[in-house]
Amino acid sequence: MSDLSTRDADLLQRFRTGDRDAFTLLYRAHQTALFRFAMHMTGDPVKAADVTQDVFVWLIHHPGDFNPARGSLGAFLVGVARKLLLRRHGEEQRWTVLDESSLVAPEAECEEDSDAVVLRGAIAALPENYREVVVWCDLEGKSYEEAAALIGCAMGTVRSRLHRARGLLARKLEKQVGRRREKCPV
Amino acid sequence: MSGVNCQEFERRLVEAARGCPMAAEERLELDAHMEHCQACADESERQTRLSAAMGALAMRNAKFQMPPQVEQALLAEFVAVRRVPRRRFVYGVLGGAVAAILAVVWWMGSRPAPQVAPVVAVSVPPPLQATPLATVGAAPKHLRQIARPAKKPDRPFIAIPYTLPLEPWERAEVMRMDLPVAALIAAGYPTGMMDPTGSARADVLVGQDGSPRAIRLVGILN
Repeated sequence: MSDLSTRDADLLQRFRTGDRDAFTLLYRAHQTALFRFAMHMTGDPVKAADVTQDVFVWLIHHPGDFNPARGSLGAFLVGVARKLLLRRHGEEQRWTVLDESSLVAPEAECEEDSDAVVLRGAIAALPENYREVVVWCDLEGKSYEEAAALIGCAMGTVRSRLHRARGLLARKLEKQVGRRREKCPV
Repeated sequence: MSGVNCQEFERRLVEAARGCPMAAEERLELDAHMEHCQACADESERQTRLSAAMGALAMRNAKFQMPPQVEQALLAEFVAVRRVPRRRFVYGVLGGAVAAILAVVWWMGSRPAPQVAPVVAVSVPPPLQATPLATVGAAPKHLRQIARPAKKPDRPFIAIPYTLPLEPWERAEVMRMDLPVAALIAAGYPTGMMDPTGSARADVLVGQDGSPRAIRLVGILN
């Protein structure tokens, strides 16, 4: 067991007995990674903060559900975040989705990093399983092996999903860039 | 460019754009292929641009952070959740106590009444006149069988002459007893045509000091 896992296990033990400081330390240790993951998945800081908060609320209400023998606390919390994101996504499906091109502000279209803005929308529009591999492998810099462990699938699946997702994203980005060049030729 | 070749190089192309380590031979083969295949060269350009956009997006997203007030909100939730078991315990104990009290009350209420003449404690209003001070519940069944009902069921208590009136704070008791009619006559009770040698059943109002203060005739015994 790594030092981080040992520390987490110790903190979790204290947290289960009602130690407020232990919970604070656990939160501070894991909130950044969870928030970043949720931010990449949703493309919206408000939604990301909501999901991250919900993960810790869930942990407060289910302190005994984590089994250290099955993996690290970080991975476990990511799993909880994934389920919450999936549920949220399902709820959002009930609403009409606007055309993502209309969400890009006109003044941002000629900005240097407007590709990133377009990409954020394109990633958010990807199917869930494609979006996950893009987030883990390309935005979080995880290896195929690590991503496969986090998602719970084979390494080859991660690789093929990533290639397909990147193909979709590259085409969408190209289309957007072409549109922008028409509007802003300089 | 054959389709087979492009499929073969597609994977390498994406890996190269992502900056994954690649053997020098593989890299040379890929470059050589792209010199002849415009489609793969275009795809390589798209993938490189995508990787750059990914980097920019990761940088942009890193600027966002969790709102600091969330930590306080979570701590408040943590404290609230921790309090619940204690509250549950207290409520459990209180609930148990209430249930026990209710059970005792029910048990006492369901016990059979004692087979003796009822003795009722009453607080008596100050003026002790020939007005009803208290009424006694119905006599037990076995007594009713032997007692003749009086002509007027709610006869008033009649104060015994030459006794001190009850004080407002003084407790009094009504005691049902069988008395010789002669005793009623001696106490100044109007017996009318009753046989002086007979007996009568009466409610006697007894003061806190044990002395009788008033009498109410219930019935004449055979």
